[in-house]
Amino acid sequence: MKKPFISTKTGAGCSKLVVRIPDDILLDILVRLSLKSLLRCKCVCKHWCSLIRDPTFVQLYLGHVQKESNIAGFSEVIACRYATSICFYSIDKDGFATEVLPPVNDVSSLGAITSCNGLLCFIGKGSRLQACNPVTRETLTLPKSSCHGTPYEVYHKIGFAFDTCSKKYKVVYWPGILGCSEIEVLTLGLGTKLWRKVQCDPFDSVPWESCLVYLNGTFHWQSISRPAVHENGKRTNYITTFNVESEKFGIITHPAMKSNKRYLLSELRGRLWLIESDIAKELKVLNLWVLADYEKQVWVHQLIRLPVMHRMKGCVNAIQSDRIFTTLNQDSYICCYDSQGELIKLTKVIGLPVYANLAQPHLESLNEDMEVMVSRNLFPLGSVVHGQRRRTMHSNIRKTQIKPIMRIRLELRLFQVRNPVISGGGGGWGDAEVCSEAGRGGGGNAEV
Amino acid sequence: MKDSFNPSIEPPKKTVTLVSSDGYDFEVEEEVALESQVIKDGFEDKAVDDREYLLFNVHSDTLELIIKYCEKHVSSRKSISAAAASSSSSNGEEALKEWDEHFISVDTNTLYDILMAADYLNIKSLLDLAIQKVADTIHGRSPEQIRKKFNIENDSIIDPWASE
Repeated sequence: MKKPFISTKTGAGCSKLVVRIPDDILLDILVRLSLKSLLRCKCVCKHWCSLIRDPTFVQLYLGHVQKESNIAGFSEVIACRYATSICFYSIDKDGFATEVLPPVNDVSSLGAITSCNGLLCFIGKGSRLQACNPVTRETLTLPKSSCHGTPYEVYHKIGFAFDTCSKKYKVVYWPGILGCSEIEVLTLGLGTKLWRKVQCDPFDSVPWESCLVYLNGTFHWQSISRPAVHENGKRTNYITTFNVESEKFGIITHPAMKSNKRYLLSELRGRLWLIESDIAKELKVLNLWVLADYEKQVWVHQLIRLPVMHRMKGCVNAIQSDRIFTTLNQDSYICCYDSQGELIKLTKVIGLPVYANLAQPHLESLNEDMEVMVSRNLFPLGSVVHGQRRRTMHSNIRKTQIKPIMRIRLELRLFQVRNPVISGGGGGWGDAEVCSEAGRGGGGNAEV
Repeated sequence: MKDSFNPSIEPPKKTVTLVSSDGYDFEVEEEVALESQVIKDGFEDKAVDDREYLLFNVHSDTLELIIKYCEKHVSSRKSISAAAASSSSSNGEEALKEWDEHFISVDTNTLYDILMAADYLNIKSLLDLAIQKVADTIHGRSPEQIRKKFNIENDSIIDPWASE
């Protein structure tokens, strides 16, 4: 092997290194970066920025993150509620929870949290609906609906959706009162600042969950009929649907009806799931139903065997992919299952507040809808979480620019799990365990 | 990759000649050269005594590194499979990973050269290694640091870090 005596390379020829890298390689590099790094990279130069903003890249990144999230932790962010606060944590694969946002305090203890396409929506301070992007740390307070301030407020349900056709977020507000004959819809983004009422037949049912499950352009929620409606005077469970585009209502049958059980409706891998739970008894097996055929309403029953050591009493909080987030007494666990329903791994979550009784998995997003909403001044910017000073619209935009970390969001549409499970809500599921003590469930190790 | 290309050929080992862009000849063992998918693809068509490859895009400095990488990977793959065959425990893969780590810890210019050469020669594992290295380099750096590191001109309209 001959070795050259003098290097013929010159320093000048090696400048602008990465700029010279072909785009396909550069994309391969960028796709491996974390969301935060990507946000910074957007500011490196115009070319990088255009690459990162490109829808093709968003898709590419999505696929990559999806692949990664299968081996990583529960979710990028998990929002949970304890007592009168909503906290935002990210949980890594070893079960360590890190707070990613300051908590929102003074919220209704029955308030809902829902996540869609990178935004979280919840009933925040003063029962006002707030939308928040944990990546940008921006919080918007949505306009008041006419239902606000009613004595039934705690029973209000919300649904949060991203309509892929119109590329807009839609919030559905449901008073949750028996006999009520309208629900309200708010379209975020362009134009409407006001809630629009959608008339319907008077509801003979009230939703159970505090959040409506969004799937295929349709909201779903569990309902229970009034005794009088049914012939035998028996209550009937079913699932009510509301299509966002056509604004039509529908009904799906409920696969199981046991009065001593609670059912959690969730969306997973593009299908509707029902998870049976019992707050009074210890469960050895978790019953699940998946709506295998949406059109024909065929439910398929599945079982997950729970770990003997930790038969979960009560709260299955959320389900995502092959993981279940659950609360046992005051501790939270993540259980990983294989497709046969066998437990692979049980991880104790360390660092969450005790009695975190409601969890909402949330995936961060690359898209910039929040930015559009803010910059077009459609909504008065509510006080920023953490009791920071209110900022003017102008300074907020500036802030967005200063912290580019905040500017990329991942298109969430195609994630396997978009709007998984909300438990609790009107029924007060697990609320008996709510404790005002805001301690942290520290200590302890991951165990199997 | 596969040893099927030179089945049961013991010494004298077959070699091919790689010629760098600045005209230096590198004589390497056949299986080492076959790490490159590009060479592998056209290998069968070439006559045995005409196995010379002109690599117009690869400088001799870089080619030397690339050959070093390929030789290491070929030899450690052999030792790993030998260890597996004799069912003796071996930390060969981890050692190789460590070696890779060390190998790719080079300055930005060299990294760029390796990246481009790996792309040109289509050596997937090396390309992957180099891409990951660049990604790791970018990770945790501010836009300004990234620009400096990679010599990128700042044509960005907003400079988010200017005020910090």
